[in-house]
Amino acid sequence: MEWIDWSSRMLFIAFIFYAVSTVLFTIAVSGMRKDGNVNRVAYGKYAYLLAIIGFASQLTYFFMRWAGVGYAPVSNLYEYTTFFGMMMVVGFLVVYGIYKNDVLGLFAMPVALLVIAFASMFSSEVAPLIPALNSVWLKIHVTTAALGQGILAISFASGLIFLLNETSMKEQSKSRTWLEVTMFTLMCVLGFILVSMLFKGIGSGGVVEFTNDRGQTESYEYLMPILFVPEGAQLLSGASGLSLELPNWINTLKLNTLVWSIIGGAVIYVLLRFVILRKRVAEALQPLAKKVDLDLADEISYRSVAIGLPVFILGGLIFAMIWAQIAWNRFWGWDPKEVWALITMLTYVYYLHMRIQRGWTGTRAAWLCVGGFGIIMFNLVFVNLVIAGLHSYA
Amino acid sequence: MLDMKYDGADIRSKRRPKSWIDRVWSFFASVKVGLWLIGLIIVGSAIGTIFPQEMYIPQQLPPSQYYAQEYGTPGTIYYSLGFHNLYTSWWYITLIVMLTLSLIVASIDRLVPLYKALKHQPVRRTERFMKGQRLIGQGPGTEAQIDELESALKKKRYRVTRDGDALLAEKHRFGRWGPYVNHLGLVIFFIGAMLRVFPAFHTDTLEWVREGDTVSLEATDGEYYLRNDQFILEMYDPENNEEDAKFAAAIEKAGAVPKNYETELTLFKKVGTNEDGSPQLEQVTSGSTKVNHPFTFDKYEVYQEQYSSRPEFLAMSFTIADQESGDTYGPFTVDLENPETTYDLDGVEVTLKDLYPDFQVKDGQPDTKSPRALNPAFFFNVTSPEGETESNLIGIRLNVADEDNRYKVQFAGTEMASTSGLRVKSDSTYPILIIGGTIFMIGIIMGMYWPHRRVWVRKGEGTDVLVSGFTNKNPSSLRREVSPLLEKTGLPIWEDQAKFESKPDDDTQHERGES
Ligand code: HEM
Repeated sequence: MEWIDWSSRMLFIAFIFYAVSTVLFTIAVSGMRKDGNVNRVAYGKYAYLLAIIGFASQLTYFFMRWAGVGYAPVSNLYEYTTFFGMMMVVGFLVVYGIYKNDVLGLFAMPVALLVIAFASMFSSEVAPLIPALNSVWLKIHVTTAALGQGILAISFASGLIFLLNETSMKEQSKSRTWLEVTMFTLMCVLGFILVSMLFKGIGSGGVVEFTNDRGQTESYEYLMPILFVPEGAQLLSGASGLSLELPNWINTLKLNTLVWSIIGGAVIYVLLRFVILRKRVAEALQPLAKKVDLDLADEISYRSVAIGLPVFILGGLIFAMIWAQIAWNRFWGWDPKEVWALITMLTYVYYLHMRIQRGWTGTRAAWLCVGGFGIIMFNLVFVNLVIAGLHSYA
Repeated sequence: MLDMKYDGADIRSKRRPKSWIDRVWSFFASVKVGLWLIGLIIVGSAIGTIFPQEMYIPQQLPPSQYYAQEYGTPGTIYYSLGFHNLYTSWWYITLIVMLTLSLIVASIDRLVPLYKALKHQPVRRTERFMKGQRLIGQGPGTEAQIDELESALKKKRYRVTRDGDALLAEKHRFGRWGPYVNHLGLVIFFIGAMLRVFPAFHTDTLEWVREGDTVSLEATDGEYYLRNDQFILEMYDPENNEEDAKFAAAIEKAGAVPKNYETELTLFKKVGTNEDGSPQLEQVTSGSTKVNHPFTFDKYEVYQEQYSSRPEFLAMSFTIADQESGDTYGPFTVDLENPETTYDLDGVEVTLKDLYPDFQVKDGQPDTKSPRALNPAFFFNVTSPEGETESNLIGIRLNVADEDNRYKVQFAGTEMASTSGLRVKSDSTYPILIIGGTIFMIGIIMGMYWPHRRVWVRKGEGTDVLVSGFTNKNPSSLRREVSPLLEKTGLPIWEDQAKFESKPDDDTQHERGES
């Protein structure tokens, strides 16, 4: 148990380092002139160094937890998402190593932070490994796939930089609207984290019991105030409040969490937009994104895909097939998780081929990088939590 | 600017279509068509994950009812559109086949001309050609400076060729073959995957083998036999195992969690037939199969796929109680595999009249559900030393005998055996898939990690020197690599002619290009 406790502390320390690194990157960028050479040398360097130290502490977390649980800690949603966050940091460290661009740090590090904070909302309880998951190939598959996704995620950060730089904030356009939607979505993730912490603190959930489709009695344990319940549900404990009854085939527990996250996101967004910034969030970020040439932003996106995609294909498809062959005796079974890994690959393959087409680089390509990250997160969150399959952690 | 994608080579699909063959060729060679195909496959694949595919639904209900019951109207629509078997539907397979054709055609279309163009590259290029490149610089310079650049480029591992005052430096040309190599690998992989449709290429059977039993393996056409020596099932045990103690909380919630299941086996090969017709077996090897560690022999693999949670009975023992005298006879043991019909117990004779391995009552009559000894019941006749016969039906939680029977049959013990579900497979497409997959991966890495870079330098009008550069990816990296060399030698620095522009309404826009 001691190993596990210490590992959690190391993860927390890593989180702090990443946060401070983000702040330093912000200072480096705000103090940076278009030609890119004023304060960045000092602040950018320290920021990068802190990111590396943060990474080292997270690596310590990883191996300590490994020692604690007795297997590579990538086998539930908490462990996997944390690991994915760490791989995003690796992706950033690699790409920053090539381009030494602080703006990238300013955008990539907060996303990694968000992912790690998000991970810590899942249960970190240690669970026994069932025989099928006890495999070297599984470890290789999962870690390599996560590394690939982490590097690919950097193209999301630079894609955003491109779009923020390129999109006019003064006139209505699809890009402007969708950028704001993207910002709002990120706020909802933050909303989920803050709302979860808040309600965990005051303990305002409840338990309901109901009869499911198959006529069995099932119960839902809400951690957040109950907004939705299944038809004919009975409240066993907690506050009732105003709750809406919905058809049984909808998982109201998950819907409840989703709606609370959106409410949380909306509160943050409204505060930012109308009280703190008094302009679109994207517009507020634009001056920072403007510190990078569009060409450079485009190239960083492309480069992250070029580096990340082979790693992802190797880990997410090829090693996955080897593992599936050994564990389930078929290398491919059209399980949702497998299909979504294939979709991830095809999306980035689409991105690469789109660039062959004249005039399809730039904005379109940048949006595809944003969408690609959406698919990675979808595969992580939605496929695990909602569409259950063999690989499901939940 | 020049379109440098294939070095301006003459590409078949780009010519004006003449015959219908040309038209079909151009269709499949088009990247736009390729994009459509990839896009449609993405959308189609995603649809297949909305509800589970037929192979993943529970088998108690027919699919026509299952989708309607579980998912309401959307489920009914999903089922009626055939999306419950999406990945084997005609349209999905058509898309994959078209993608394969597109891969082949597009690659051949471009590979040959590109190869020729890169093979016969002039060192001295026209000014028009050089000014058509993305990176271009022009300014005063001398031949000595070009010589100096040559050695600087060589240090950066460029291959440099000269033609008088003209220079061509090139690196990582082989990266250009990456896409073609990976496309080839994919095509091989797809072909392998398509061959699996034919049963001749693979065998796959599930064998239920009871502990101690030897079975002939259907997948090997009876050439091999396997004996299940022992089946081992281990559960996590947080109370008695120190290692597992940390999982106590999770196991409390989830119930028993298996840690390992494993079958120890012995493999035999049939070498002939005995006189009585039974196979003559020769032991080949022994080993074990467990999850994630299949047992392999010849070209076959044996996977530990399932185990029966209801072990089978091997033998049962009984005693007979004389209710009048209080004497007990026996015990005697009935071997369920080869039961004897009569058992003599100090004068009391027991005859096994009937045996029901998997007992049930059907139409008011005792009957058996299956030949597997899961729930055996026995019909005995017990004859006293005096020659009186009574009948008894005994099974698990079942004892049917006449109220006034003198003898009572009682269970005295059981011997059980676990049954292991072993999947025996062979697949002769594996080598094709492995080769295809490997070539694909090599191609991807070649194409993605080695950008092709070229630098041309030549004297232009008067004292001017022209410098231009080409790369198929990451132009700013080429610039950052070579610009310092140009600067050091004093040659004109190049500029990127194909920069993106922001929307022209903001203030920072005007700073562009100042530096
Ligand atoms: C799943 C299917 C496919 C995969 C994984 C794949 C993979 C790739 C990769 C990794 C590249 C290199 C891209 C770059 O360097 O940026 C590439 C290039 C290319 N692909 Fe594909 N591709 C696929 C399907 C197709 C299809 C259907 C076409 C048909 C039009 C096609 C045509 C091309 C062409 C023309 C190139 C550029 C070749 C060059 O630069 O010389 N690909 N492909």
